[in-house]
Formats: sequence, structure tokens, C-alpha cells
Amino acid sequence: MTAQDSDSKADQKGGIAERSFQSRKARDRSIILLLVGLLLLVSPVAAIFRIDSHILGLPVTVLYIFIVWAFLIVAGAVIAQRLQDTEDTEAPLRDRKSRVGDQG
Amino acid sequence: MLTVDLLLFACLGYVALLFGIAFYVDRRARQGKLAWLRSPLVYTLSISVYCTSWTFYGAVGSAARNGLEFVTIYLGPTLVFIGWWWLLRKLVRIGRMHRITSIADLISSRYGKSSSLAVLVTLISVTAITPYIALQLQSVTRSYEIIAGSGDSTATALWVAGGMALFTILFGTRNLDANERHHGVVAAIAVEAIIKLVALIAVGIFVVYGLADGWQDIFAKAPAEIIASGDIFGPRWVALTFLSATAIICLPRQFQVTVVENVEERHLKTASWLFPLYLFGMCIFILPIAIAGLEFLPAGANPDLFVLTLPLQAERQDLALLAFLGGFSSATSMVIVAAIAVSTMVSNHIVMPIALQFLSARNQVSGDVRSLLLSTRRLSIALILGLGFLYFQISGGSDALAAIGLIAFVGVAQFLPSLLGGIFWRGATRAGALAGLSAGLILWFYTLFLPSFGSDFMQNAAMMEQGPWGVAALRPQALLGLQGSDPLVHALIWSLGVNTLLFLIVSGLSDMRPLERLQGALFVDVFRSAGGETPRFVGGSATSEDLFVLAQRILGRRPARVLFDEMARGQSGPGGLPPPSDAVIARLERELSGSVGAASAHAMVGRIAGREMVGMTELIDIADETQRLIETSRQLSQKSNELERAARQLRDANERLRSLDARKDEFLSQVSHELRTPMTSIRSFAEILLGDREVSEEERQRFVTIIHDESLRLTRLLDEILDISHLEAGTVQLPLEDIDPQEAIETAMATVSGLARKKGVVMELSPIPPGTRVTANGDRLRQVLINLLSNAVKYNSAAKPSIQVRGTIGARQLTIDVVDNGGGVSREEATAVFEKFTRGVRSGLDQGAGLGLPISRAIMRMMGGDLTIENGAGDTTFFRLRLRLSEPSQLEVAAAGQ
Repeated sequence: MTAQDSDSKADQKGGIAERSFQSRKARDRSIILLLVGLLLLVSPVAAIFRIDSHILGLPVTVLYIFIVWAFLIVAGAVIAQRLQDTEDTEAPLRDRKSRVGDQG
Repeated sequence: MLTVDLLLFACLGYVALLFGIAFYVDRRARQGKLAWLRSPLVYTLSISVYCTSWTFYGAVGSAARNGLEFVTIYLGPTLVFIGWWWLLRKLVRIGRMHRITSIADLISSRYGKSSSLAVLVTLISVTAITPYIALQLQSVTRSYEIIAGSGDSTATALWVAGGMALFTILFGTRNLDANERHHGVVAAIAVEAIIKLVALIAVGIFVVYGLADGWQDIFAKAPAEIIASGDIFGPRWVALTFLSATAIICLPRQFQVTVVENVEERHLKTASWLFPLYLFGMCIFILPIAIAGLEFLPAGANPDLFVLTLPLQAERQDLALLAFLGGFSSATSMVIVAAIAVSTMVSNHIVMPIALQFLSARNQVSGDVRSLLLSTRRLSIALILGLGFLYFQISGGSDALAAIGLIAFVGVAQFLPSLLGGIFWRGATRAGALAGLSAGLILWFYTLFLPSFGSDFMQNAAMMEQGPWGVAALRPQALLGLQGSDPLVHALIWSLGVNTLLFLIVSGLSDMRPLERLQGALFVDVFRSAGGETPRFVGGSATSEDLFVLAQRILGRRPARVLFDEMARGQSGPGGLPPPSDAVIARLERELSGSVGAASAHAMVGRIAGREMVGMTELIDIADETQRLIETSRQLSQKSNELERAARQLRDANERLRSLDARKDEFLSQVSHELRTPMTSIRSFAEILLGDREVSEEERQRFVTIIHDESLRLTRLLDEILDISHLEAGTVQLPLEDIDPQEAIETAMATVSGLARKKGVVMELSPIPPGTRVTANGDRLRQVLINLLSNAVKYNSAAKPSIQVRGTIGARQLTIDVVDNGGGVSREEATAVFEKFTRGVRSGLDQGAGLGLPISRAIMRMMGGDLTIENGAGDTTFFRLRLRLSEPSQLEVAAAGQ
């Protein structure tokens, strides 16, 4: 059953090569995003923004963290969206109804 | 006014609502109507079980104490979900393929279905989860006391624990789902996730716009140290971010909702950004609430309860109730999921293996294992909540919620090396995982968990200060004198560092059993493997009945029936029990492992089916991707070589056919030409005889003679053609016998002697050693010799013509040379004479058709010899016959030689 599914996956738009390329690309992007996030939030680089001043009455450090955070979410959403456009794969491997025990 | 009655009523009403939702959804699920439940939103909300009351109350407390540090607990999961969701996807895929029921199951399954690993992971989980559950009990109890006024906190905590246990038992252990999914619980948790988010945001908005005058105002009130506290982006910051990132992967309850309860893999894509967004929403008001708490509440108020006390202080009872429900939601959802996850582990990995020892002896009743499992699960849930309650009592309610949560985080972080190593590194071994986990567990317990009990527990204080037995190097919070860092960072570095190192080193040094290698390959390459059943090779024997009984005992009568029917259909058998093939056994084991975990299922099936054996070649087939590719390409190139060879052979054959065709045409035209000449003369003389009556008797006589001669020639020619065609087609079998070559030669010479005398040719025979015998056909050999000799006689143009026949005995063969001094066949002609219809230059007009030599050669070859032209002295050539010596004659010769 799974083999069939992966076959029908391959039949969907784009060849396997193209789709796996897109999938890899999305994965690469998410890794890059992870590295950017680490650099901006965890590394000593972030300490640049540990300054005691305010913008529009809000502390710079707080603003910085939350803005980076929001940026990561938006970027992540865009990447995930892309992925769904090109790769509407991952249909459930089995039809859950056919599973034993779900009824019992 | 918010009275105790109202509070209790709201609580009970809320719990009743959750019950209702869980019940409704469970029923829908059983009817197979789950459409809206199978949405990414519900999945994401269920993941938010990450936000416990530690978040709801504790984050504000943490913010009030340590400023921005609380953010790290949410940044870690954000980074994992946004940047490393494919790790989660891999986990989900593995969980799906191998029917993983818990993180203990995953690790044990990966390392060859090891039950010792499963037990170890379960132990760590229970130990780590206990304080965490205590934390939830504590927060609910405290928040209740805040509103209801002080009461008997032990009784309250007991009630809370009891209620939670009841809910969990009711909805977490209704049945043994083949996949450990709990739709009702997930739905209830999703609702709770909404409640806690809404409550926290409501309080936040009230604080920012009700108590204070907008964001700027609230931050203007902020004490300086809360924003710019020393350690932002420092080591503790990094450690906490790392820990929280680890926790979102390794926490048993997170594993439960993210992997086990996952309905569709693609939901992860939505969750990858929606869950961070949820966390963002939870965090955005934490800092304002903390600041407001410090500002508006009397000094000394517990920062961990600001979320509740702020609305109460401002006399906003409705908001306080909402906040209470929010906190209640976060606590209950965590406890329920954690209890389900851990109780599954306990029953599958600790109770089950023990029960297996006793069960097989008793009567085998359908579903007995199943009911045992369910009751042990219920018992474990009660036990886990009891442990949490006990910890709450012993620790006396630690003052900082955050500290307790972090203890649990470091505990479950011990899974990380084995987990990541297991799914990304084929070489990770069971021994490595065992070593790493054990060391991590011990160090974590010693450096972090033990100190958490507080100073009055078993002379803890003295031990903290001076180390056990006064050995300073063993001080739990400064092990081997590693001082100066935060206790948490200290514990993290020690436990996880030693854990990882041991895992790597022992993995590198130890060997793997075949099953371990197989599982390792299947886990690491989960996206590349085709899925379905992995081939197993089961030694020993199992009957279908035994297997069916086992399935009935674990799954229950009806699901077992359904499963076996399905397998029987797959095996093309019409209903009944499928034959116990390897595939059936493997499938059954996988289905059972969805209920009792891989290690137990493996043990149970193994008990019936005999020891499982994984063949090494098959293992390599499945396991080694590279090997497989190499094998495939090798086969391909082999195939293409074969094709190339076949094509070449075809080309050659075609070439040969063409040349044969050409030769056939040539042969036909030559034959017709040869036939035509005598026919023409016969016809013309016959016409003369018919038409001309003036022919004299003498002339008539001559003509008739010519006609007769030509007819004879024609017959001879036809005989020869027939002869050669038979010889070449191999349709005639020459009977071979042992003959005396000398005799054959002498007979042939005698036959030719008349002709020779006429031409004055002298023939000499140098005698062949007596007793020599060859394997040949006497008549045919004579035919060949006569042909050669008569040729030599006829075409000899020397003044004193002579022919010499010499026999020489070589190794296994006799060589007869026929040498004449008549110039022989010139070297240019040498190759051509064996072609049909070729005659030597010196041949006269009348002579044979040129088939003599080809026939002779064909005969010789059929007798296992040959006829060749050899170069003699000068430009001369001679004919050489080779004949096989008969075996005895060789012996005789050898004997004669001695």
C-alpha cells in the first residue's frame, strides 16, 4: 500500500527529480533559517543589542528579540507554504480507517 | 464576588465540558468521522501542551526574577520547529512506519528492540516527569488557595491529582489503539490550549491597557534590572535555549502529541510556523504582566501568581476566573498527556515483560493481555500522579516553578544523543546508548535532581556544602571542582557531556547484532526505504493458530479477526488463517508493537515463532544503500555487456551467413557451369546423330563414345557433388575402425600404378613402422590417397616424374606426406585448391570438376585428421595427411620404443 502511494506521489505535478529538488531546497532554506536564528538569538552577536535604550518607549533588547522572533515565524511560514505548493505529498501512508483496532 | 462555591462550580463545569468534548470526539472517531479533527490547527494546538502552568504562571515569575531569560524556554522550540522540522518529520515517519508508541519505544526499537534500553528510558522519564507533575499540582493548588483563601493544601492537591487521574484514565485508556492515539484527549487538549492562550492574552491586555496606559507606560515603569539583567545572551541563556530545544524533541508528552498522535505528516508543515506563533502569543504579554506585578502588587507577592493576583487586586473577578481556568487548563493538559505517555511506557516496557513470564503459564483467554495492559496502564497513571503528589509533599512546594521545570528538561535531555544518533547514524549501538543514558541519568540525578529536594532532606545541606563523606571533589554542584557556573549549566554540561561522549565512544567500540543493524538502517533511511514489511527470517516454527491466539490476547477478539482476515486476503487465501509466513509474522509483530511496544511485541512473537534470524545478505540488501546502488549498477553493466556480446555474435553470424550465401550462389553457378559443359557436348552430338544421316558408322561410334564418356563424367560430377554436400552437412557418418595405414597406402598405390606406369611415374613408399594403426575409415582413406596420388601422377610435368609417400609418427598422429617432383601446386594456389571447382593451372581441359581436394579434406576432417598443403623446398608444395593414431597402437609404439 505504501509503495502504491509513493508511486502516485511521483505521478503528481513535476517529476520526481524536480520535486525532490524542491523538497531539498525547502529543507536547505529551513536550515539556513535555523542558522540565522541561532546567530541572531543565541550567539554573542546578539549581545550587540544588549543596550539600555528605548525606541518608541520600548526597550531595545525586548524589541530586538521579539522582532527577530516574528521574522523567524514569518520566514518559516513562507518556506512551509512554498513547500506545500510544490510538495503536497505526505498523504497519510495508510488509510487510517483500514487500521485494525481503530474500531475496537 | 468570586466565592469558593463559584470557583468550584466553574472548575467542575469546565471539567465537565472537557469530558463532554473528549467523549463526543471519541465517539465520532469510532464512527470514523474525524474530518475537522484531522486539521493542522488541532495538531498545532495539541503540541502547545508544551505550555504548562510553568508557562502560564512560571514565565511571569521567571520574568519578574530574571528578566528576559524566560524567553529562552520558547526560543528553543521556535528554532526547532522553524529550522529543524524535518527532524520532527523524520520522527513522525519512523513512528508511523514502526508503530512507535513512546520515546522509550522509539529508542528501544532503534537499538534492536532492546528491552533494557526501554526500561532505562522509562525510568528516566518517570523520574523526570514526577517533579514536573508535582509542579502542576502545586500551581493549581496555589492558585486555588489564592482565590479561595488558605485551606488544606494537601487535601486540595490530593483532590486535583485524583481528578486528573480520573480524567486521564477515562480517556487515555479507553482502549488499546493500534497506534496509541487518543482523539478525545487531543480534542480536549486543543480546547485547553485555546483557553490558556485567551486567558493569558486577556490578562495581558487588561494589564497593558487597563492597569497601565499602553506599552510605553508599562515599560517606563519597568525596573532597570528586569530588562538589562546581566546574563542575556550569556552562557545560561545559551544553555536554556538549547535545553528547551531539546525538550521539545525529547519530552515524553511532546513526543506523544507530535509523533504518536500525529494524524498526517503534512500537518507538521503548518505546525512548523503556527506553533512558534502560538508561543509568541503566549510570551508577548509576559513581560508587561511581570512589570505590572512588581509595580502594582505589594512587595513580597509571589511573582509566580501575578497572572492571577493582578486581576484579583484590581477586583476583576471575571478575569481572575478566566486566568484561573487558563492555569488550570495548562496544568491539566500537561498532566493528562504526560501521564498517558509515561503510563504507556511503564505498562509496555516494565509491567509487560514481567507479566509475560507469568501469563504464558496461565490459561490463554482472548484479550487477557489486553485487559491486563489496560489495567496496568490505569494503575500506572494513578501511580505517576501519586508520585507527583508525593514529590510535592516532600519538596514542600518549591518556591520557584521554573527551577523544577528545568530539572525535568535536563532529565529528558539525556535522550538526545541516543535519539539523534539513532536516527542519523547507522553506527550507533545499543551498548553506546545504554552507557550514555545510564551515565547521563546518574549524573543528572546527582547534580540536579538530588539538590532539588531542598536542604532538610536527608542532610542534603551538608552534602551540598562539603560533598558526601566530606569529599569536596564529589560536591553535587561542583563536581570535580568544576565551579563558578550556574548549577543548571553545571549539571547540563556534566550529564549531557558525559552522556554524549560515552554514547559515541562505546558505540564506536562495540559491535551490533544483526537486528540492531537492520533497525538502524531502517530508521536512518526511513525516507528512502519503500516501507511495508521488512523481510524477516524466522527460524523455528509457528502455527497460524498460535499467532492468532496471541493476537487475540493482545488486540481482543474482533480486531484480531479483522487483522488476520486482512492478512489472509493479502496472501490470496480465501479467509481462514493465513499461513505463518515471514511476512505475516513481521506484520503481526508490527501491529502488536503498536499496542505493547516493539520490545514486548518482539519478545512475544519470538516466543511463539522461534528465534528471529536476520540473514546477513538480506541485511545488506536492505541496509546498505550504497551497497544496493553498487549492486544495481553492477548488474546493469553486466547486462549491457551481455547485450553487447550478443549483438557482436549476431553481427558475426550475419556476416557468416552473408558469406555462406555468396558462396552458395557461387557454388550453384559453378555447378551449373560444370554440368552445362558435358550436357552441351552430349546434346550437340546427340543432335548430330539424330539429324545427320550421312554420318559414317565410324564417326557414329566415336560420337556415341563421346556421349557415353560425357554421361559418365556427368554422373561422376553429380556423385561428387552429392558426396561433398553430404560430407559438409555432416549427414553421413563414417564408420571408424583401427586400420593399418601401410596397407591402405599400398592398396591406393596399386590402384594408381596402372596410370602411373602409363605416364612413367615412379612411386616410392618409405615404410611406416610396423604395428602402427590409425583410426580411420579404410575405404575413404584409400579414396583420399587415390585422389592425391592420381593428381600427382596426372599433373606431373617433370622429366623424370616421381612420387614419394612418407609416413612419420608424431605425438598421437601419423603424418603421411605425398611429395611429387612435378612442381606441385604453386604457393599462390595453395589456399585456393581446397575451394570447390578449383583446378590447378596445369590441369588439363578434360579433368575432374575440381571437387576432389575439397572432398578429400572433408573426409579427412571427419576422421579426425586433416589434409593440408605444406611448403616444400623452393616454390614447391606437397600434401600432408594427418591421421589419428589409435590408442593401443600408441601404447605399442611406446612399448616398442622401450
